[in-house]
Amino acid sequence: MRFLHLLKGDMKFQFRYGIYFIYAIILIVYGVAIHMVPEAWKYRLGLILVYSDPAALGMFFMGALILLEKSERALNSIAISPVTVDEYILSKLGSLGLISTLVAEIIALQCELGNYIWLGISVFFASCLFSLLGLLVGSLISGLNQFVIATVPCEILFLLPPIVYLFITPQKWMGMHPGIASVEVVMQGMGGVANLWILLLWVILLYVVTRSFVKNMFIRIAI
Amino acid sequence: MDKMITVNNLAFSYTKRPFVEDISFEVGKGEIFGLLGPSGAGKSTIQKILVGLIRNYDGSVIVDGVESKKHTNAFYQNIGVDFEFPSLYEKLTAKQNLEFFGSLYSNPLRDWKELLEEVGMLEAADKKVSGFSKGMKSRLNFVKALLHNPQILFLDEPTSGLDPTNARIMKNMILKEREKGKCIILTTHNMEDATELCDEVAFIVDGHIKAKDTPHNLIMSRGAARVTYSYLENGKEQNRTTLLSETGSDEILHSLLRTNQLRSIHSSEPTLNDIFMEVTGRSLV
Repeated sequence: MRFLHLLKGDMKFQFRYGIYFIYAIILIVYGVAIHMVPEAWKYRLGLILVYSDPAALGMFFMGALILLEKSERALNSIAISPVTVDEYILSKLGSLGLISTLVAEIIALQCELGNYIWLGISVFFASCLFSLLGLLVGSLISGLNQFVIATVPCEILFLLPPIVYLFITPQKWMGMHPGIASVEVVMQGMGGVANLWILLLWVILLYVVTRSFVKNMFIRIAI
Repeated sequence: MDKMITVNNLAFSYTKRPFVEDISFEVGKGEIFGLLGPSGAGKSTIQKILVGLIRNYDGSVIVDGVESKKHTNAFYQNIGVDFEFPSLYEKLTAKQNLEFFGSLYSNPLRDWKELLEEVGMLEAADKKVSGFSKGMKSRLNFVKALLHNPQILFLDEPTSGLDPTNARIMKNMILKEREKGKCIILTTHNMEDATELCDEVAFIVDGHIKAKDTPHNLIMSRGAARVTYSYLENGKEQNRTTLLSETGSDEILHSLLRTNQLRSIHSSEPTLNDIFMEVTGRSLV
């Protein structure tokens, strides 16, 4: 029950702080762009947009949310409440994952990507991955400038490879990369279920690391 | 009296050097215990240990019947913390903040309207926190700490930034919570508040308790009221100070009184801050 309250609260803050508004703008801009590009480009463009924006934006939104909660000290009150570190993280991942998935599905429909259920699952976990990266970085720093700089390596390591992957000859081992695994699930649907496990494994691994950082952040800031 | 907090030989260190050491005290139901000390003295660390955020301490810290390092998250159902600085979502209204933070607890909640009314903020319930003054945020923060009706309250500078009227209201509310049997830990630099509110205070300096007693006992045992008077001697003003208890044997004072030659006279009692300075060699205010 508490988790649902937390989830509802997170969605309310995201709405109040304009994150849903930004997603709406993205949808409009991308909608126009998709209708303007030649038909043959739509599929690849759709894959890039679905992966790079709704999913990866979670990293920046998560960072912004953490920095806001830190600067307004709302996090202090959460740290000394019955909310567990897991509930806190999962609620953030869930709320951002849901909106990312919804936006990705709308873009996918416009680009007629197909495999919509697998796409939704893939985008949700990719969003979790990026949100965890944002949370990890956000738990360590306190300023927006620091955050922007600190996320550059994450972008290079996690965001760039799947985009490059779409334009080169694919190799099997590349599927070990979480972003490429996510794109493969979207492209192959049911056939890419092994990639989904790889993506999930990355999410779990990153969750374990991020959890310990968030726990330390709670101790640091609480009083 | 039932003890809600029992600390025995608490020691903790962030590095190899001890940061807090040999800390022992007890706080019962319906008691207010003051932690007084300069910044960096170890008050926050002690509070972090009491609320279970730091677990790798030595000694024993029993809070609400639970060894602090072994607590589960249910432990926080019974703890309320009023932070020195507002910890609120600025873009939400006062009501939305209280509803959200209240929803994180499974305890029956107190009526937020009554609490807001008590601190004179009911009319601001639907206004965004970002538009509040510092004092309003402090009052809302305090209400937030009381909302889930915790039995143990940690109050950090609760009257900071408040005008005298609102500070009075806040202090009355704290005293009311004590009457209800709440166990309250008060951290403050305001010695007047500590003297008025606390049943017992501990002076914390460099991670150690330098003195611990009731404010009254500390004042009475360490200091005494003094009388300072002035008079003219050979055309020059002279000042003399004598203990209030020794005015009867002060011949100069008697003579000045008999001959109406006193220019001024006033008494002064030591404050808790005087005692703090005497005991620790430092000042808080």
